[in-house]
Amino acid sequence: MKRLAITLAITLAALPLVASADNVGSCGWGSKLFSGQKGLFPQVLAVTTNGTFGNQTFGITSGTSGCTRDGVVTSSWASNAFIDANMNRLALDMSRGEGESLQSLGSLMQVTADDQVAFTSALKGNFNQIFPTPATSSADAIAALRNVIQSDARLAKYSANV
Amino acid sequence: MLVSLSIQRTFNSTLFSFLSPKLLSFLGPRLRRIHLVLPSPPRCTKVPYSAPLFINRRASALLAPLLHLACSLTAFASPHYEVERALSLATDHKLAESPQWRTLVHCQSTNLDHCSTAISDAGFFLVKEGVDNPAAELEATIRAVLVEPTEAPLQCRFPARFEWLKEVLKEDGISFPEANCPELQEWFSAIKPHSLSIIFPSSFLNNPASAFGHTLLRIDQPNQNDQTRLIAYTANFAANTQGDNALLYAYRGVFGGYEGFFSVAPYYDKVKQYSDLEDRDIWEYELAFTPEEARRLTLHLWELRKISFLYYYFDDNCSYQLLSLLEVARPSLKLTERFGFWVLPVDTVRSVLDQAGLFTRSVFRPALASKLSHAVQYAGATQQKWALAAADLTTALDESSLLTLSEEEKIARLDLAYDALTYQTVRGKVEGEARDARAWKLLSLRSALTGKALTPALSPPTVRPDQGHGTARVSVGVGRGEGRWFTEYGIRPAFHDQLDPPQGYLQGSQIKFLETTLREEAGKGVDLHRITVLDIESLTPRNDFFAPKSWSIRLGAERRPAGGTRDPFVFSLAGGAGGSYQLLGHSLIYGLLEAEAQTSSALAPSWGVGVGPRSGLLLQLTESWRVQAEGSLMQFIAGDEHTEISLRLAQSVSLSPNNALRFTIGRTQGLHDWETRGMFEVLHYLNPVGGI
Repeated sequence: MKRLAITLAITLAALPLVASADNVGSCGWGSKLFSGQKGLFPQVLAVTTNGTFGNQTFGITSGTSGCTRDGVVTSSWASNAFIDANMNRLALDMSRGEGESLQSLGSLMQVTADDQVAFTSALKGNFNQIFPTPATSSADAIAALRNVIQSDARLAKYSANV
Repeated sequence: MLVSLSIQRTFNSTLFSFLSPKLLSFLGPRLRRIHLVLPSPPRCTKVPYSAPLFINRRASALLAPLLHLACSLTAFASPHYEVERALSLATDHKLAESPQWRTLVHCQSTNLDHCSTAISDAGFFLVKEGVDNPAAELEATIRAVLVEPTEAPLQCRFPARFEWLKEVLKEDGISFPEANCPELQEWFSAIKPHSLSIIFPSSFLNNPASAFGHTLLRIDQPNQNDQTRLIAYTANFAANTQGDNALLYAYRGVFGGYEGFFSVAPYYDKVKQYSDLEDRDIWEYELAFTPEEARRLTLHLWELRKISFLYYYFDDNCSYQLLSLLEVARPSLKLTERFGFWVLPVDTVRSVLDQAGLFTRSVFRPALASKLSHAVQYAGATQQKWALAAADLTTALDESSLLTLSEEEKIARLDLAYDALTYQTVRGKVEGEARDARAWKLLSLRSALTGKALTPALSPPTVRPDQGHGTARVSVGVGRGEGRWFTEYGIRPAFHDQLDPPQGYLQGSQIKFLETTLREEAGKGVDLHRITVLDIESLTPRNDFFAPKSWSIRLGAERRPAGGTRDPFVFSLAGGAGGSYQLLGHSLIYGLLEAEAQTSSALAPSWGVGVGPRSGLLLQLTESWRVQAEGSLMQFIAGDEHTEISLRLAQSVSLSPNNALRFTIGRTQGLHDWETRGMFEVLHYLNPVGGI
């Protein structure tokens, strides 16, 4: 209970930081921006695309269209959009403690090369906290990830970057 | 000029609208004997010294300083004066003819006065004539950036044009008004262009649009490393097919009717699509473009937002348009003009890699299925069994048997199980909450283990797609059938058959397109013997982890002996499905059930519909020696009821990547009687790059 209260407090404290950063169009907390609402294993995986040549116009990308403009993710949402679009890849790499999705996320969060190993192992060690259930939404995963980073003395400085 | 222009217009828009722009540009100059674009006369609107309307280039160069003086006396500091000066400088420097300008306005022609362009969107050109007249477009651009500051400044709409003009006219003291472009700024700073890579997802037979592969461009970022390539952005050119079905797609793709667009998306989205969903291995070719070149390309990409191009499957396709982008990055590259009437993605990769000093290195990104089959090879029988059971949602997860195992063994089993489950998910075999719960459980167990997987990483194939055999093929063969000698001459524009050297191509895949064979027999002269319009075969091996279908489809016509003096054509459409299994090494055994529809004057009635099996072995005996043994039976049950039986043994030996010998013997019972045939062929593969 105590832990939950702390988690909640930290989350609430961190929210305005992010929310005030940039609210472009429909991109922001509370809006229906993340496809990951569907959970850790979004159903998009089950759909084989018959649309390599599908309805691709400039600027339409999967999942994060609320946060993109002309195909590019609004900068202050880059790490969140990345998590949202790569939930299952991140979950896999976190469970194994290695992989390019973790390195890429680290890069988007401006984690230095020196801290990358600590970053990776913190995420691996807290897999069950970041993805507590199979249906974890990307918004919940992002909040939990921020908590994990914040409660790590070495990594706390990066918690505003997600 | 007016006449010729109107000819060109009519030519372009109505009569020959089914022809591709490249063919038009080939024919165009031949129809337009007189086509002049007069140099834009320097004009100075507010002074009486305006240049004569028809002034030649040399005279205009001589007069320019005078005009400047005249203008400056009466209208100095006026933007109009700057415009006239800039225009006359542009004429002096022949800017409209420079490769930099011509690439920026997508002018495709070796004729300096004229352009044909694949851009079908009038919004890309400031003036109507700009479509085929680069000089008119240049004049309009100069006028627009120098004259009036508007709410939507041209500097923000056409930043690449603007930057180039600023650069080339800097030394002449022309200063262009700067504009503040916040949207462009934000977009550009997210992309962070530093260098460029060509991304080549390999063939995907299940989608005709990507059967020959695909290319897109990755704009690499500074400080990017092998582990952070996912967050770079890509530029992709694709047709907007509006969800058309395959037939309509084929028709419109070939004869025109689609619009193509460039789109920008993060590379991770593309990896997800090609690597995870479509199971295509990806080759990344890193190129030695400078940050300035990458910057120019990115700015130009902004100019192409929402701009529609004519799209043609065979030439004005994804790969061709990427080349035109690379030419914007480095205008001295001559990439597009090397192509003829069709452009295959792998050939465009070759044409880029052929440029001296441009290729840095390649990176192989295996698809999910490639990684899984690699892991299966290293897994023991008990590991495989546990993993398959763990991926099977109808049985409970056997956690207890993991307890006693070593950490490495646990990791091997959990990793294999997760990959197998993901593969089945992608194939649509499993879904729902039970699947999610199982996947999550496997990852959760895995996260508690700290060791590393012992399975060695999958190493890239030794032969890259660009190092495979040429996509076109010519052949000469000598053979004997029905007691007569014959000679065969064959040409195949694209792409690969089961006996061609497999290195660099998708295993078990075959795409024959417009394969045409002429046959010469003593006393009979040369005859068209066979034409295969399209023949696609996908033999993907099945095992406990994979269950893909093998399938085939073919359309063509062939002369068959029917007892008469001259063999009649039999037109045929056939297709079927089945399965194949891997033998040792890269050898396959396969079986398909096929249906066939035929029509021919030799049939009574003139058509037949049949069904029957086809089965065979494809053996890869050494790197360069392949053998195919195949038997088929087709029982025609409607129309002309007859039976066709065919037995065939063929072998092929590669002498070098682009030369091979083939020996075929076959025995068939067709419309007539049993016929035995043998043939020896010399095959040569070539790249259609360089003009056909």
